[in-house]
Amino acid sequence: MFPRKKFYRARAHCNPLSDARFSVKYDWRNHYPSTGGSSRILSDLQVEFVDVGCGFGGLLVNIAPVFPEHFAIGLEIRDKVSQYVKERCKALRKRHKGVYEKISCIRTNSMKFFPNYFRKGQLSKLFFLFPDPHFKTANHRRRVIQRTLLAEYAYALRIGGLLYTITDVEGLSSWMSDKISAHPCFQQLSSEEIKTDPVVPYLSTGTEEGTKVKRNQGNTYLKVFRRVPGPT
Amino acid sequence: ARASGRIAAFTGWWAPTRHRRTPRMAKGKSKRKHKDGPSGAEGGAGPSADYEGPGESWGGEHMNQAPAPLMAMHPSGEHIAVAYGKGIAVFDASTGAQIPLRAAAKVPSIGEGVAHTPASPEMRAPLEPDGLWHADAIRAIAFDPTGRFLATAADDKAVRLFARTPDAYECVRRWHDRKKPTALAYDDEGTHLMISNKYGDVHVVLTDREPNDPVGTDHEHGALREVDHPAFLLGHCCAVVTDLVCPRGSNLLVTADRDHKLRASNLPTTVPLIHGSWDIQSFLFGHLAFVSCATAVPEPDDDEDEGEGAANGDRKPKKIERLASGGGDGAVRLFRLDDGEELASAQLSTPVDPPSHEELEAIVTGQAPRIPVNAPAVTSVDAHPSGAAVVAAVEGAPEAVLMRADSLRVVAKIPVPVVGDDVEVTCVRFDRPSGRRLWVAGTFGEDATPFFRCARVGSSDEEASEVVRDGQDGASAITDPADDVVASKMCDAMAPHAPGNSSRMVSKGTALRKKQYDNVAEIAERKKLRRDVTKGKRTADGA
Repeated sequence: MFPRKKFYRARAHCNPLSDARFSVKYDWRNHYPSTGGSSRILSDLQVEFVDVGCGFGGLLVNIAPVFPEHFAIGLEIRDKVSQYVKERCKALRKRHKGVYEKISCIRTNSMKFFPNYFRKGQLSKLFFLFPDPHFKTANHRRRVIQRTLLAEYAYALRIGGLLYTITDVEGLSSWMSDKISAHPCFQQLSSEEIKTDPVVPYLSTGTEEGTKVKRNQGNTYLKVFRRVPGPT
Repeated sequence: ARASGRIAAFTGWWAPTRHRRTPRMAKGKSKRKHKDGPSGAEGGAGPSADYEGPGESWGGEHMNQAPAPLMAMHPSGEHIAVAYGKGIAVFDASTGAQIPLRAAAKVPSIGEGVAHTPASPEMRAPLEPDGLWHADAIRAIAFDPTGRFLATAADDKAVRLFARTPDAYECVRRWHDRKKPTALAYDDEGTHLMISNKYGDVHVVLTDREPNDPVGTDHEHGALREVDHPAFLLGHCCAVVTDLVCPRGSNLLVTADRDHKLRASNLPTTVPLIHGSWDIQSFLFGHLAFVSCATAVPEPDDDEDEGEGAANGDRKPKKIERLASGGGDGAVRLFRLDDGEELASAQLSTPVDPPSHEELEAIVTGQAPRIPVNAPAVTSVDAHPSGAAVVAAVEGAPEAVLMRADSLRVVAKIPVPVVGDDVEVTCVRFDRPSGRRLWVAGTFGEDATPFFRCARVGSSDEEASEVVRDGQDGASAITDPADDVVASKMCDAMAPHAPGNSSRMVSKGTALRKKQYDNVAEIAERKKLRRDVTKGKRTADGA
């Protein structure tokens, strides 16, 4: 009943400019079937947690029991992997009633179509876990944390919302914190503030990438930022 | 020879290579040059290794975008600037006399790869080798709202700024960028010029400053730095920005892109604009294909005493809140800027493969993937200064479509009086500041000869809205012989700039339209074959 990863194998890299066949205006009821029964209008169904590049869905599955009232969505560009996550959510809903109703996955190119899905100030948590480092200078433009895209992430996050980044590549971590700190709408959280957050323990070990890093005894660099109102 | 034990497993040595056989080095291009420069994610486009020179385009010759006749109206109504191909000229709107363009005494060119020593030829030769201002097709021209400057941007990646002097326009600045510019816009005071390019970035430059005059501190490094070169303002990630609009009084910059959307970003007022625009006000969704052009729609005045207010400039213009845009889906849409709500739309041309009602439902609700709706694209859109009407031109139709600004209901289709086949209207503009005349520019014939025509629409706001209200189909435009004189002078000035090999060139709409690949089945077949081959080998080796 649970999907087996070996049938959903996909290459790690995917064309970041691909935009051919993505649906871009959304009916959220397709993703959260238990809410479809009652006639909820779109504005009621507010997704608050977004995992950009959710991979095989580890984070979504781990935080669903911790945040039973919040809707969470994962954005994944690889076709097979997003199918896997959808199957996994379906299987989990059958096995444990009522716990995994509020998570799902969308297959989309989040670098191009992120603002299509979310209204201004809708999100309270945005996750970028182990993003692709794209080491070569010529490929830096494909990194998911970028000057141009940070404005879009700031648009979708509400004031006080949190942006989480974690990676095992130190160069990437300093790049991301440089870019985000240079943006006046984000402020870095200190380590004391991070300790009290219930989501943080799941970030380094809750995902497939995270467990792989731990197994190889690598270091992870966690940085959290808060959305603040910028200068007008 | 390779280790003998592994020869059996070594399969591809003499197989035909699938990658390119001539390495890039053979072409004589050095890759080392740009290795440590900006990488393309820091708000500047990365190195463009593929640009061979003017006239060449990545994607081969079949994607050469044809030059289009463009017009810009001076805000006082005295001058009209026209451009076609590499040529540009400024005319007096009433007499048709040409206003000269000349170089300023010293024309510094600050930008990538240009030597700054006074003896360098760049500093001393402001004109291109053949006496023109640009080496490739001009893509945008604009006057600033205060009337002091004229800016031009062309495919040779140069943007020039001309300052108005009592008897001429002098070219005072020139900037080079790494990517081709697509559109220009000024802020309300005319102090900043915004330039968008094909990479998706929008840069901002200061217009009224002496070059090499440092301005303020750079907040990233905390030190004085020269801000001559274009500073990064904002960007659309990897999407061509097709048009830029800065609606008066709104502190917004609207960017239209190829991914079916427009974005209204807040321009900061408390910190210098050259430090970037970080805050997005709204996204305007609704187009079903690329957005090709956009224009701000002024709010109609509801003052009773028209006579007093109209004459002088004391009256402060109302803040602009609406925007009309045209796209590759053949529709013009009206949006509210605050929240991105689509207020009205007008379908001006029929889509090639229109989705059926069920398909459209499925696309809108998200069950079916969105395939762009292809229709003859809207090439140009402009709003009447009174805010009563919007005019648009569509690919392939030799007419200008007039619509009411509040509902976008089509009230008149004014045919363009041009004799010839293959008439393409590329630019429609209302006169400023009164909007009495409607100017239309385009090309006809297989040589892409340019034409300019002018029609009278009404001498005051009331008349303009009357034309809009009456709206008889097939109403012919009222022409004035004085305007025809000016128009014919424009045609004469721009005719020599027609491109030589226009047969290979494509229109703007075709260049923006993305090719649809439907090779999923093919790929699956090939993959299946590959798997079978591998399976065979494995069992043969006795694994």
